[in-house]
Amino acid sequence: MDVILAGIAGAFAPLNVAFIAVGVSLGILVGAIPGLSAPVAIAIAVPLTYAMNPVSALAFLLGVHKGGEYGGAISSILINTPGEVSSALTALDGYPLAKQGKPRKALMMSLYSSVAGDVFADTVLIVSAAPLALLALRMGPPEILGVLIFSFAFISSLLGRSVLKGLIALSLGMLLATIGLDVETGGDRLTFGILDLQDGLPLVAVAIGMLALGEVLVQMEQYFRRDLAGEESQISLGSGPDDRLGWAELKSCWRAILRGSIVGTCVGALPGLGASVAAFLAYGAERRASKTPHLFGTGKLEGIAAIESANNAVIGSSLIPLLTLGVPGSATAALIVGAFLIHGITPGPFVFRENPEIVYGLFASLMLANFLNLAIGNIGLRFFAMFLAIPRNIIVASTAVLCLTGAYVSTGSMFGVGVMLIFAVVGYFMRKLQFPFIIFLIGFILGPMFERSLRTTIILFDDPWTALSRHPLLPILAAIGVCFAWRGVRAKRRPDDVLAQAAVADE
Amino acid sequence: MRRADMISAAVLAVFGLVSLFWLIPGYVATSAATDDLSPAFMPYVAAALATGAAALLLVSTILRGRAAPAAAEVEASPLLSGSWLFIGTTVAILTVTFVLIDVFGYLPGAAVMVAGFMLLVRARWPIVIGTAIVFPLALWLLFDRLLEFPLP
Repeated sequence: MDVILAGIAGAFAPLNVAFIAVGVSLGILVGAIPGLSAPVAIAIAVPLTYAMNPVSALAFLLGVHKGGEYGGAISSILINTPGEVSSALTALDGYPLAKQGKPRKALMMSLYSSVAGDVFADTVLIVSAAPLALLALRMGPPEILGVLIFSFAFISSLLGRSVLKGLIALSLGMLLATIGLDVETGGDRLTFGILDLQDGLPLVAVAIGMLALGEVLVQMEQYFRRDLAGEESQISLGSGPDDRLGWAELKSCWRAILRGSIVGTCVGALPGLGASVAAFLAYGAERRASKTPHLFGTGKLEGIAAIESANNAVIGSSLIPLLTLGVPGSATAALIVGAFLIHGITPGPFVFRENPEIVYGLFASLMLANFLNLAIGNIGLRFFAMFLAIPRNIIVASTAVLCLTGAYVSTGSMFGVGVMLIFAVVGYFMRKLQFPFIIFLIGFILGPMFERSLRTTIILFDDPWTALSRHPLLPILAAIGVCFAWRGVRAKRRPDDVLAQAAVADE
Repeated sequence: MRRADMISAAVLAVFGLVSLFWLIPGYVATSAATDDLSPAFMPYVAAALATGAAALLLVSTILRGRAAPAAAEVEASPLLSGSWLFIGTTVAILTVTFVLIDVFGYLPGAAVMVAGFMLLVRARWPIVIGTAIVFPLALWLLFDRLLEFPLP
């Protein structure tokens, strides 16, 4: 109990509150800029966390994430251009509503449902994480190997358009994760005599290069080739009485918000399925449940409510596999792993035993971030909308230097900058050739854990039949993973499948 | 896309073979003193998986092209001629940036990067010059002076 109270007290420290507020504001700002998504915002923000204590650092990044998901809706509604893939569907009903002279109503519905989705998923996380972590602590290397095989099969089959490309990305990520000194023997592995490589490739530099600068290069190419003709016309925020979101309207959407929150929470808890899948599923479910499905796409508040509550609910629940198993299920979770490691914390079930005050501080910070998101989103709406007027090509080019600075700050050497630049070019080609770079990153992060579990399991399975009877979870999880992989392969062949649509949208 | 898939799969398969038969045997130190699995075990597993998947992708892309040649031709290439000019120029800017930071420090390198990238995205000269000076300077003040994290 003392640990819980200490964690909560740490979360409500004035400096921590200020960091969360800055994080939420930065997230809304970056999320609102079309082309710059929440992972880009987090990649840029990770180096800023060096000067913070672990709770503030993680709370700051989660504030960026929560703000980023809501920020994506601002550009979707006001300029019909989503700042986030997961907000792409928000434009379907948000933009028509804005064109009808009700942009504020659409934005407020988006904000309230985003915060409601966040609160729902965070509550599920807080209630379920500790018991699940206790369960995870009872798992040995074979069970962990089973969980990893399941996660890899699940992620590779669902992300991207081709399972083979997913498998290649995963294997290359794991291969590059072996660079450095071997933990068992201390021998060099693929270091080529370069001293800096003995510690392996720096995760944050690889992630900034692939996620942020790689995306910036793809965006820049569109301006270079004049594919983007000009800036979109923006609908200005009015203040008419018809543009206010009334209590009755908000109340009429509670079912949509609840449905979206449940869908988002379930999707986020599964590794590999991100906010875009949650948004697609929630929108489909809402249309099916509605008595007036034909009105969706014409400015229906329920559509906005379902999508925004679902994509924000993913944030909290995506921490469930991360905190209980150490498995990052998305690009943003992968970056948050980097932030954990920077502060000397290994995410996974042991964190509940070794750093409980940090975990409970994080939980309290998540709830605090929701209320700050609500307050800042409400008060600063006009201010954030102003940033849509800045030419996007200038923002995109300037983001590149943020990545450069971030890579140096995170590694403290020019080696990290070099690695970041190389992986930016790799990330550019992976996007162009439709290789899922998120799977590459997940393979890179989980590679060492997979290797440790695999090596120990092979030694334990010297007598396979006895070992199998003692560790039945390994073959069961592996078999479930294969089933999901088969389901994923079949889904990719059907263009109308929601997962296939989300995969295409993610690209 | 089919041609791009074939080339990328072939390149990755060759990279996998080079890893399996040259890089891993030559650059992974194996110790005979331990009963444990060799340190080369995991690199071999990952490289073999990548090579196998790349070979399968190559074969499946060829077969897909034979089964429906007309559909395969319609698919646009993701890398157009303009893409190569863009990525070539970008790599040149990144290389110059890296060298400038290493030799002269953060500010000149970052300024050249911002200016180069802004010209690449067709921004106007006054905005290019202004942003190339103000933005790196602001970041340098933030990290080097305010947060006391020394930049090169």
